Amino acid sequence: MRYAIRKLVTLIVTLFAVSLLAFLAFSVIPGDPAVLQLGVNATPEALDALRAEMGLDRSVFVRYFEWLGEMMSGEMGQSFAHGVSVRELVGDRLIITGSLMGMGFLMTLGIALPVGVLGAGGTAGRCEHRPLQGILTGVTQVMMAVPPLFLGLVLTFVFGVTLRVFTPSAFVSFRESIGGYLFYMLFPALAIALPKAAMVVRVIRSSVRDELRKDYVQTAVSRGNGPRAVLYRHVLPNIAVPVLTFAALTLIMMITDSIVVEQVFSIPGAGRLLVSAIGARDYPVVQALVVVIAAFVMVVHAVTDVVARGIDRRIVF
Amino acid sequence: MSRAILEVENLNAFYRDGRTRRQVLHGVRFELMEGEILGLVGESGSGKSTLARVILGLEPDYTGTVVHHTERPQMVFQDPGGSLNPRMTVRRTVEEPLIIAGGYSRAERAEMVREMLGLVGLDERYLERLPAALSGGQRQRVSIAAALIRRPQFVIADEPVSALDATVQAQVLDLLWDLHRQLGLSYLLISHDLAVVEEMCGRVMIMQGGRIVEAGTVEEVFDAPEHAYTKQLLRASRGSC
Repeated sequence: MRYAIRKLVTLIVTLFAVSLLAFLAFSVIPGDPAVLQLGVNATPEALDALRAEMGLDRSVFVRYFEWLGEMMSGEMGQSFAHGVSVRELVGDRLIITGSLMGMGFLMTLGIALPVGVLGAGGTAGRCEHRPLQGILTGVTQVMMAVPPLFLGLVLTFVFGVTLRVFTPSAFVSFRESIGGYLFYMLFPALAIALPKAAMVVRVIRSSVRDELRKDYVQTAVSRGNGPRAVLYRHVLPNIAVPVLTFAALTLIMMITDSIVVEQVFSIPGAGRLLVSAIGARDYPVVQALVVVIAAFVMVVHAVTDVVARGIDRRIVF
Repeated sequence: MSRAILEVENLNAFYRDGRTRRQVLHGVRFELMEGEILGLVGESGSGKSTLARVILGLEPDYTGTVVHHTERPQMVFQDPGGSLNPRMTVRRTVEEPLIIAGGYSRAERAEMVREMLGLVGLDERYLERLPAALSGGQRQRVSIAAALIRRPQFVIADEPVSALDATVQAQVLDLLWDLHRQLGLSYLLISHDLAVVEEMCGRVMIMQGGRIVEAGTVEEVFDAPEHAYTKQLLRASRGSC
């Protein structure tokens, strides 16, 4: 418990540092949002007026603390490009991207844990089913190599165009129909999940294989444990922490995947917004999203550490 | 009077090294008598551990016969660090053979674990510890406790003390000796340390290149070695004279 609190404090401090960096980075890089909005032919007076309206004429630090206040109040500032508060712009999109990643992660675990453990079970027993093992290795290798972008296109082609299970590009908002929304999101989530599931399967199998070479496994066999008992009682508890840590990593990697997959499936998520906001130099939106993503990454890491520590008393940080 | 509890006849064992099948044991035969401590001496790679593994049924690729006249033998391994599951507490490790066997209530198991730990010189404070929180000697005691909890008649100890400090070695050997006396245990004691074998064993077998080259009582073999390899081993351990 004390450990969890310490983690939380570290997390908050780091988050402030990230927010400062995110803010400073955009005040340093070239590109003037006022010029971008009014065009290069705008008069200097008009530009100055717009900059003042955007608050860009004041010092960086005044702006930072002002922005910080708005971030914490939840409004997250005003979008330059859309003229509404960032919260309004980002709110639903974060829910969409969040649920896309959540579904992707659940699918990853749902596929990888049984396949990995059953696949590893073959290596634990004497009756190693060689052809099946070979097929599993081949499939995971191919799956890992396929980028979600391509997988998304393949899924769209197979399930959308050929089998007509869903209608491509006909995104259903969760505000209209939760069922329709979840059904539409099934396919993009699968595009994200499959390569990650393949990676997790590989990690499980190689961890099990490494673990089986250890002496305590031989002891366990000599005490009368059958192959199943060796796997479930001895090996799996020992690989739980590294596998969990890796799975958490795949959740973080899904951030970038979701940006790509949102484009392929025409999903109005935070990833697409981020790409367009960077193009439009809409700093308040970009800054807010950077902070949200950073917070997400840090929370995932912190939760993983706390859970891993709960599982494994040996870990001392 | 005493009867054999293990009979090994014409045992050949093989080891798969990539595509080649290498023979690591050649026509091994011996008997282990009830209440006996039989030493098995040889350098590393001579096939000692393979022999132990075949007897335990951990090695599937062999020809010949291995006849047990007792229940499955238990094993004490060399490295007390690696041979214990790092995520199992002392209690779980020692209790596990009882759980596998089945038929013991929780209370019975707890009582047997407590008693067994007492026998190897550990008390209840150690019950909830993980191997990482134990010294090498304590781990080997836990390992011995787990091997003995089902009261086997026959224990194979593969270099049980060679990974331990000299003083701890003596303690663990004393423990094995006491348990032999108290419980009437038979051991197959595998060691490269002739002094250990001389102290503990009644009979000894010398192994070289997967063959037993000489066997007999410790006095016979150590005082009047016949095989050149035995003489060489003795010279090496006693220093040149």
